[in-house]
Amino acid sequence: MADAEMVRAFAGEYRRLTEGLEAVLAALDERVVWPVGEEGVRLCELANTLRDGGAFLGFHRLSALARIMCELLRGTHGEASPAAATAACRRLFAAACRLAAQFMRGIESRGVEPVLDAEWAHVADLAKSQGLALQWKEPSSAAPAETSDEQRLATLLSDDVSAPVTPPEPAPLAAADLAGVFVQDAVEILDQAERDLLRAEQEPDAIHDILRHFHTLKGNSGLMGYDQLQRLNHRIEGALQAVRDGQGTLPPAWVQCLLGLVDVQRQSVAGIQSRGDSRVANFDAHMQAAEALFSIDPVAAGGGRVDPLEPSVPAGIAAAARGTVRVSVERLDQLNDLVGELAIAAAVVTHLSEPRAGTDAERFSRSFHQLNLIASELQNLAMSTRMVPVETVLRRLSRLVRDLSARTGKPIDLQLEGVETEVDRSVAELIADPLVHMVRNAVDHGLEAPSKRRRTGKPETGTIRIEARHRSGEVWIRVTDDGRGLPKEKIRARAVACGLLAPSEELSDEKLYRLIFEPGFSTAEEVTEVSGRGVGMDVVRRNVERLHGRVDIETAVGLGTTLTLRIPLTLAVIQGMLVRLGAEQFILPLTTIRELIRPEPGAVRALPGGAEIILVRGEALPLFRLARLLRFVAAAERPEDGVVCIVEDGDRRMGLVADELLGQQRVVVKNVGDALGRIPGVAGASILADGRVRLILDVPGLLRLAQGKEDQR
Amino acid sequence: MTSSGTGGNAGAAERVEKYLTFRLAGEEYGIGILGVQEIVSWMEITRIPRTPEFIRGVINLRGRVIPVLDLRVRFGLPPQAQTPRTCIVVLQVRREAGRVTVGAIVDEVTEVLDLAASQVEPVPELGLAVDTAFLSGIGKAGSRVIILLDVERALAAREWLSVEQVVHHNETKGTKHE
Repeated sequence: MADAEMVRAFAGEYRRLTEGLEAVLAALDERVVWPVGEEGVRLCELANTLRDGGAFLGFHRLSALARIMCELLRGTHGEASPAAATAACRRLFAAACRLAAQFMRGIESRGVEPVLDAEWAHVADLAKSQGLALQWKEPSSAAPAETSDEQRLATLLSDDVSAPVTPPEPAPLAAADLAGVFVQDAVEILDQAERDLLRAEQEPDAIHDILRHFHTLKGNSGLMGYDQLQRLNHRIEGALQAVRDGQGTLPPAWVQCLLGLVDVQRQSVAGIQSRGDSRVANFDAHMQAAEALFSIDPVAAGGGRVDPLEPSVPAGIAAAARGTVRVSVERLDQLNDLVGELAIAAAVVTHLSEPRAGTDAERFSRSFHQLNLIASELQNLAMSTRMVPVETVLRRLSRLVRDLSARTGKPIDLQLEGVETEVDRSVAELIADPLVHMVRNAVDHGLEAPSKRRRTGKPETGTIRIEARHRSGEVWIRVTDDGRGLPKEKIRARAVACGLLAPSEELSDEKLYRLIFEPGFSTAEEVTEVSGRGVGMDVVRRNVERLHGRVDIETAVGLGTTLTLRIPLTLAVIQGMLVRLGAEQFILPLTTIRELIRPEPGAVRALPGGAEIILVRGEALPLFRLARLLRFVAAAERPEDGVVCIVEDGDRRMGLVADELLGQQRVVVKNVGDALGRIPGVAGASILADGRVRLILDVPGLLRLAQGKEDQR
Repeated sequence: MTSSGTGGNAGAAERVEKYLTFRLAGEEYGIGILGVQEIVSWMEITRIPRTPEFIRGVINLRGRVIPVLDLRVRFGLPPQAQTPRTCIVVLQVRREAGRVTVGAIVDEVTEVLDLAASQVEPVPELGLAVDTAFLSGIGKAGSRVIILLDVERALAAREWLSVEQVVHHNETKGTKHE
C-alpha cells in the first residue's frame, strides 16, 4: 500500500472531509434541502479531493464513491431548486457519504480500504436507480493490470466528465516513486490545461475541463505536501469557479495569466524532478499578480484590457518528465512476443550447431537467417518505443504564437498539420528550441503589421503554418509564413557591415539567405522584445547540426518565407560510410557526404603554407588529409592514391582525404564512454559486425578542427 | 589467500579490506576490490584520435563502448607489448556526475588480497617511480610490498576529465604522435 506518511496526510484531509460530509448529512435530515451556493461548492470541492486523492493513493472504491458524490453535486449545485434533488437522489448521496466515511475510518486506522461488501452493494443499487450504475465499475473487477496506465490517462484526458472511472492499478509505491508519479501526472495535466486554455476563448465549455485540471493539480500537490503549488492551484480554482458560476467566458487577460501560471508550475515540477524541491523563485510575485487580476470581476475584465502577468515564453520546453516514456501496451506486447520468438530461434540454432545433430549447411543457414530476421525486427521495434509524436512540441508552439500575437499586436492564424508524425524522443527534445526561434522570427520579421498588410492587399490576419511529415527517412518540419519574405538587399548590406561579406563579393541567393544563420546576424532595425538580438537563428543551426539535419530556406518577396527543418528520424541508427585510414577504420555519416571523388591528376593543388585545395567542377574547395586532422598515420601520401570525400555542413564544404572506401552500412550509434567527455571530431562510436568498435566522425567538428578553432578553446 | 583473512575474531577491532593485486613493470599494485567490476582478457582496442597517449582507445564490452587506459603510460613506466597474461581490469570510477566505467590495462592480475589497516602504511615522501598523488598507501603482506592505488585519483584525475585540454597541452609540448 501507499507510503504511510502519504496515507496520514490523506487521512488528515479526510477528517476534514468527513466532518464536512457529516454536517451535510445532518443538514439533509433537517432541512431536506440540497446543499446550494457556498456550501454546495465547498462540498463539491471536498468530494473532488476525495476522488482524486483516493485514486492517487490507490483507494479506488473510495474514489468511485466520491465520484458518485461529485456527479450528484455537479448535477444540482448552483441551482436553488430543491426539485433537482429528488428524495432518491438525497438517499443515494447520504448513503455514499456514510460509506465514504466508513472507508475513511478504515483507512485512517489500518491504512487499507475496509471490505464493506453489503454496504457497497446497497450504494450500488441506489446509484443504479439514479442512472449512475453504468457510469462506474467495481474497481476490483475492472482495470486489468496491463491497461491501467492507458485507461488512467484516458480518464485524465477525458473530456466527458461522466466517462467511466477506471481507477489506476494500485501498486506499492515508495515516497520517491510517488514523487515520480506526481511529476509524470503533473506534466500531463499541465499540458492538458494549457491546451484547454488555448481553446477556452472559442469554446466556453472548456472551462469545466480547465477547472478539473487545476483541481486535480491542487489535490495531488496537497497530498504530496507541495504547499506553494497547492495554494496557487487553490486560488486558480477559486477564480475559475467564479467564472463558471457566473456563466461567463474566460477573459483573454485571464487566459494569458493562467498560461503564465502553468509555466510557473512547470518550473516547480521540473524542480521536483531534478532536486526534489517544488519551490519556485518569485512565487509570491506570481501569486500577487494573479491575485490582482482575479480580484477584478471577470465579466468586466472581459471587455477591458488588463495587463497580464508577464508570460514567460517557454524557454526550455523539452518535456519535464525526461526519465520516463510512455509506450503503448501493443508495442510492449509485440516486444514480448518477439523476445519469445528470439529465444526459440536461438535454441533451434544452438541445437543445430551441435555436432551430433548432423545438420546440413542449408538447414543451418536457413535457421540462422530466421534468427537474424527476428533480431532485426526486434531492433526496429525496440527503436520504435523511443518514438513520440511531434504533437507535444507543436502544441507548445501554438502557445508561443498566442503569446507573440498578443505582444506584437499582429493577429495570427496558426495552422498545424501532421502533429501525429513520430520522431525519436531525443530528436523531439532538440527540435523544440530551433522551432521556437523559427516561429519567433516568422512572427517578428516575417509577418507585417496589420495596417501594412491591409495596404498590400493581404488579409490582416497573418498565417503561420507548421507542418510535419516523414520523407525519405527524415522528418521534415516546415514553418511557413505569408509575410514579407527575406529582404535580400538588407541581408546583403548587413553581411557587409558585419564583415561576413566583401562589398564586391557576389553570392548565390541560397548562400546569401544562409547568412541569417550566422551568429549575431540580425536585419531587424531595432531589437524588439521578441527577436532581433541575432542569437536565434544561430541556435537553430547549432541544434540542427547536432541532429545531423539541415535547414532549407525558400522565400519570395511579399509572399512569405518557408523554413524546412530536415532531421533524421532517429539518432540511434545512421547510415554510415566506412572509410579506411592506414590500419584504422572510421565511419562518416552519409548525410554529411556530398560526393565521393577519386581525384584526377592535377585536381589537387598545394598552396603556399602547406594548405591544399581540390578543384571540383571548377570550384576550389579546401582539402584536408583526414589522417592529419586526426593525427593518425595514413598509407596514402598522395591524395591521388586515396579517395576524397566532399563533406558539407550547411554551406561550408571541404574535401577529406581517406585511403579507401569500405562501403556503406547502417550503424547503431553509441556513446564513446561517459568517461571521456567530448572528443573533437568524434561524434560517437559503433560496434560493427566483426565486434570491433569504430568511431563515427563528426563533420562539423572536423571543419572546426580544420579551421584551427578547436585548439584555441 | 593470506593469513590476514582471520579478521573476524582476533582482530575484530581492526578493519580488513580486500584488494585486487596486479603487476605493472615488475611492481605489485593493489586496488580496492569494490571498485572492480570485472577482469577481461586482452581484446583489440580502437584508438581514439587526439586524446592523451595513456588513453589507449575504446573496446566493445558486450555491446557497451568503454574507454581503456594504459596504466604503464599513465604512471610514466616503459611501455610493453601485450603478452598472454595482459588483461584489462574494468573499474567503476566515481565522478561527480555518477559512476563511469573504465578499463585499465595491467601486465598481469595476481590475486585478491586481504589487508588489515595495520598492514597499510602511508605513502613515503620520495623515491618512487610513480606520482604519489595516485597512491593511497603501501601494503605489506609478509615480504611483499604492494603499492595501493587510489583509483578515483589515478583514473579520474582532472587532466583527463577534459581530454581537449590535455590534447592542447601535449600539442604545445609537441609530444603527441608526431
